[in-house]
Amino acid sequence: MGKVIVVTSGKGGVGKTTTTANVGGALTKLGRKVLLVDMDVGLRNLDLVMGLENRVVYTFMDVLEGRATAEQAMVREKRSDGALMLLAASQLHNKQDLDIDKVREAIAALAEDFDYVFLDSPAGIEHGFEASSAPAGRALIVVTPDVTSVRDADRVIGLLENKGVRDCALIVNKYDRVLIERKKQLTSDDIVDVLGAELIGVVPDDKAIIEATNRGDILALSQNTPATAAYMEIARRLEGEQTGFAALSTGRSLLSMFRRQK
Amino acid sequence: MERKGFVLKGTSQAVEMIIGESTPVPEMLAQLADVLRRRGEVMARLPFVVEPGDRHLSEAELAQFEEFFRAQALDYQLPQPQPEADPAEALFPEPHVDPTIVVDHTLRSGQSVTTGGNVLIVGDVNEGAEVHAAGSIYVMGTIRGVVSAGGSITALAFAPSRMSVGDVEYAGEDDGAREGRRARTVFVENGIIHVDIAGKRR
Repeated sequence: MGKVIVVTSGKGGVGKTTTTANVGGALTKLGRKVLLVDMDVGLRNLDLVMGLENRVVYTFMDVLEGRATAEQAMVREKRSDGALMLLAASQLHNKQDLDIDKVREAIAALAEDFDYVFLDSPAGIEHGFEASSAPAGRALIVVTPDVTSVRDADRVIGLLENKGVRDCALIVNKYDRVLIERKKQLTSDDIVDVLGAELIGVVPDDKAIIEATNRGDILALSQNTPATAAYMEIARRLEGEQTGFAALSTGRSLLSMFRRQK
Repeated sequence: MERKGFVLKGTSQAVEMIIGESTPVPEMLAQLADVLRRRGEVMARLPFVVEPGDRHLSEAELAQFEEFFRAQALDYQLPQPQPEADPAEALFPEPHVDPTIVVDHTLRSGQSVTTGGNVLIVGDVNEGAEVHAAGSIYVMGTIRGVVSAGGSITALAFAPSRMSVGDVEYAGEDDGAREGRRARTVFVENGIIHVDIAGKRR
């Protein structure tokens, strides 16, 4: 039985979908079998980020309502040789159409065939969020170093705790070292201090992510950039390894310090 | 046998009636009438002395005793009526408040606690969370949200969005929530708000 993890944030635009795709991709590089489920009914995006928009025939809603089997609805990601699969959201329904009991049942059945099932939650704390978090045993909270994002994440963690999802880990996304060193944004320490949850990843603000996303390419599978390293760290931590946070290290090698002194 | 609301203690001069703390007087008198019906001839010759112990008998209750003993044609002795004490003043020297609530986790944005008593929070009060207490608030963490207390407010660090103690609004600035974690208490004296190291007061 695989782990079922909801990726959520409360606030929109912090990078839930991109994070879902890349953490999923990173786990397949560690030999894991991963299913990504787009729970954003009516505003589906995960298929675009993965470059699979032309391959979606049936959606998760079709599975829930009996029009297709999960095998028919799942789409294989190209690079990962079947280790990474997508269940797309229906664009023709509303979030209210999700029957939470059916979602829970279907996800539990799917988890039998995968090591990880990620539920890409919509923004907000309404029905779509409820349906995404109901089947999950664990939550990844995506937060950017902004006060707005931190407040929303705090609210979401509170709601998840009320539902019994007590294992909430933080991914600090779009981490801009220059702005943070100038004290224009919150540091990851500030964020962890307020939210009181485990830090599992710090993803640097990397233009390569934006380019890859718009290309429909999962960066973690296609290139080696600082962001890829961050996604690999998250994957390793999910696997139980202890790793550092490359994005937080000073970035000055001994050699460069020596040069500067000259 | 049914439990009686009093104990009868016979001496050579009198029957002492030691009354319980809670049984209502009419119920007690009905029980006494029952005892007298069965064993009346032994006691009828002796006067009854009503011994209230810690119980405060109102004048109306004493009148009920009086009426009962007269109807039974018994000699009796009742305690002196005492001036009606203000029950609130007797039990609670300070205004009555509900017991202390303990919240064993951080209050997150959107969560709130309101109580007529005190509240102890083992965790932070985050931005967007609210705590309102008629008594005092104790936070084993940082206050970042909205708090108001009738009594005092104690926390490890203060960075509240809004805080009031009594009727006084605290306009203090963020005291650097991350600096030296020494608990402080905010309280009002003579209408002026004070901040002091917790435990130093008085």
